[in-house]
Amino acid sequence: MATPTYDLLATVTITTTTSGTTISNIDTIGAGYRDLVLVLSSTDNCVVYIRLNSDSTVGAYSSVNAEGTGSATSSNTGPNSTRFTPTSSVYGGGTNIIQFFDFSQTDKHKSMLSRAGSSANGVNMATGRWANTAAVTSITDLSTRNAGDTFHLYGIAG
Amino acid sequence: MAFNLSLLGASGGGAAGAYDLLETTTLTTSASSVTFSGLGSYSDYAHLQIRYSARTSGAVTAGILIVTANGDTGSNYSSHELTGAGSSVFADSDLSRMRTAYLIGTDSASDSFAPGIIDLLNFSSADTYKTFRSLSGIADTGTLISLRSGSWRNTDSVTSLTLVDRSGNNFVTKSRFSLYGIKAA
Repeated sequence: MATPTYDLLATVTITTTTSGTTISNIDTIGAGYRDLVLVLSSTDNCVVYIRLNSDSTVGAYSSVNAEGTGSATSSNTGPNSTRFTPTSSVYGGGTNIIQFFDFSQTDKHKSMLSRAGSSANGVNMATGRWANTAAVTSITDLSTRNAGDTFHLYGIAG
Repeated sequence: MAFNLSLLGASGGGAAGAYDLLETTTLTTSASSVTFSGLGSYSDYAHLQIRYSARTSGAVTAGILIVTANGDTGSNYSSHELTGAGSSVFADSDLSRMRTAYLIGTDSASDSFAPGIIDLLNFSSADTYKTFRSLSGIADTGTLISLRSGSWRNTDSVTSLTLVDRSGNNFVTKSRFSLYGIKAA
């Protein structure tokens, strides 16, 4: 039986320059969903630094990305990190869409896929892993966000 | 800045029924393949999407997920990829199979599963080849992020999709594959 899904769970609109934005209570607002999608629309910086459940353990996160900046391609890894950093050189205003898989499962590490595009200088794709089986209860973007930036968080059943 | 979003409600979103969960398979025992059949009953959708979190039993850092349509195991497929491997970006192709996405293997951490999203476009049309695109990756012992596209060179409506590991290994327990339908505007 078909189940309508891809539901908006939360919207955060940044009104003043903010360093660190946390969406909390995900275990409550995301109950019943399998995956999450976080969409950032930024005015001048689509770079995010994602931390889950405030876990700043060195080595808790790993990642790899690939980017195109109009004249060149590159790929970088982010091993032994304290956060998931999808983009390395793609910045500027644009969109960053981050998918979180099986966020509430307690028998898997948490994996992420992202795609970002900036009107300033390029396009990016990345994947990351939080080496922890705990259910995700909060998502923090550690970057500095400016007024007008928005986050939308969606839930997808599965 | 922290937001207590339990106060902001947990519903809303787009038009109900524009993106629907159709089926989910979560393996409780390992399996050599996963098949979504009876797709003809979903013809009121324009496109299909598979979201997965999966792992192969192969002793590798990275496996390849192959998709076949309607049981066609012939060389009637093609696929291309653009992949970031950490220190380089490369492109590759396969003109006989739909090398659709990456899987993670047992050379990785035991609780590590590869994520992927596969879109199958216009799956029920009877006058075009069927095309797919995907985004998948692994971030473990191996580090790969890949954007792919490909086609099944057949105009038949897709009535079933079968997913296998290219090397013949099993999908392991806890691997999850969810099928979604997307309606046209």
